Amino acid sequence: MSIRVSNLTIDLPLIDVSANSLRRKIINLAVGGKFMKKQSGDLIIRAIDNVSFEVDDGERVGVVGHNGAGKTTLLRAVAGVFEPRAGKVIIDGKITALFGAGIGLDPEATGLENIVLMAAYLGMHIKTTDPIVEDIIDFCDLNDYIELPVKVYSTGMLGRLAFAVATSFKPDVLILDEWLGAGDQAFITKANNRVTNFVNNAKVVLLASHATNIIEQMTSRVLWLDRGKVKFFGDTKEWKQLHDEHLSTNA
Amino acid sequence: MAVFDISESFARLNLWWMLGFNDLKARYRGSVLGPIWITIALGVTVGGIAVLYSGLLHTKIDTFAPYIAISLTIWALIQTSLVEASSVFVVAANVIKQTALPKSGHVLRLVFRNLLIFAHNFVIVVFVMVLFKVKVSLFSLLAIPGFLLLLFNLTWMSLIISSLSSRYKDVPQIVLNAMTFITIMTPVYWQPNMIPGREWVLHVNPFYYLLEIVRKPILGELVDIQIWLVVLVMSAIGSILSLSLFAQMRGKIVHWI
Repeated sequence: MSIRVSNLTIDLPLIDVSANSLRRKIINLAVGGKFMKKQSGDLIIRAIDNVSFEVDDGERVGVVGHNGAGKTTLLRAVAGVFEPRAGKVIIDGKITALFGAGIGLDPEATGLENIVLMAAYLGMHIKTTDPIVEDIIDFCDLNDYIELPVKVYSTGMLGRLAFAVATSFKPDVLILDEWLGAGDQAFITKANNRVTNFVNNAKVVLLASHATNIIEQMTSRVLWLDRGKVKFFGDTKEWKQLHDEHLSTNA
Repeated sequence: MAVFDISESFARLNLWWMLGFNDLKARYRGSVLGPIWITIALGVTVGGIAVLYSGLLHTKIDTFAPYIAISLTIWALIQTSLVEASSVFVVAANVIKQTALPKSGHVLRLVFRNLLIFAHNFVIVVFVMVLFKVKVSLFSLLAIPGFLLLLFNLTWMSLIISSLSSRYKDVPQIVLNAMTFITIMTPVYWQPNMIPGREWVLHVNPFYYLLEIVRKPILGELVDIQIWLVVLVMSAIGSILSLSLFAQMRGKIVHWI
């Protein structure tokens, strides 16, 4: 199980509203394209700029950086959501990514129905009566709430449900983006145990977070991004030192 | 890559089927009659139009009622699929931004959902055909390949509309207005033999062929070879057209929605 990212570059196109319209396109055609081209709004942001790193068997890597540093973009590229402008992402193993709480949740459906739905998105076809559903309900500790529509859940509860489903099918590579913030400490401990278990089975975890304590607790190495480039990649303890120095110099 | 996306979608047919089914379930959640409302709605419309139009157009109700029932059932499938195609990727934004699932699958989900609605509506067709003793023949079996061709054409059209709509926000409006116009110009509420001297209106309309290739055999009539040829050519051109467009747009859809 591993993640290999080499010379990855991701561009995000920015479309301004006026360029969205067909009218603009038609006018462009009519005037031959040259004149309006500057206003066509085809700006891009280079969100990830020539990034390379490797994550091997049993490693937990934290991705850190300022808002807009490219954390989520990098995770999305690793998860196959964004296609690289240049470079390569090679994943060895079955990958599951969790961005925020609740991929494909149907707010009107019950927690139970949503477990089946989310599992289907992850490629697992289960029934509400399968034993794995029991495990998921146990883990996320939602008790009777599981029979209620998820629109009445709190953000933390949604996060717990999504995490429980995503990790129950034992992916080889797990991508987590900023979702633990909504969980309480008891759940974070529980989640941490599960993730540790994962890694003991030679699985790989890539986790983005702003919370220094979560990064410290849950990761062994840190990838520090700054404006789409790697600022630092190494031991979590080493990163913590750098990070503290960085904070004190900025303060 | 576009071909890979599509083959990946077909590898997960049960996911899209389940999602299409869930869409329908979600739509009628909390309603007592649930999806039976689909059947009721069509039943009422067919009843009203059959009584009214058979008088207006001086045709016999026992041939016009089955005709209008099957016409409206097929047309609902065509119209709803194409109109809803403009929002396919926008509605699925959450999933597209979080997973590497193939994008074309969301189009399959749309087609499956409307296929389920078609099945509910078909109850009315069978009921009306039995009521007015419409004779079915061996030719009626040709409705099956005809229907599969119709689904295929709706799929490529939906793929084009959904891709363009995610980039150009005017496309949904264009599709909506075009479908209203096409509904008037296509023999859905009227019969092809009612416009002597203006048959060209039919011959330039691709939806005329798509409608006839299913409707005629169900009513026990033989379908002209010309209709089959046109639909086959449309399928071929449509696949190439939609594939090349999808190949260009597929990777960018996630950034547009």
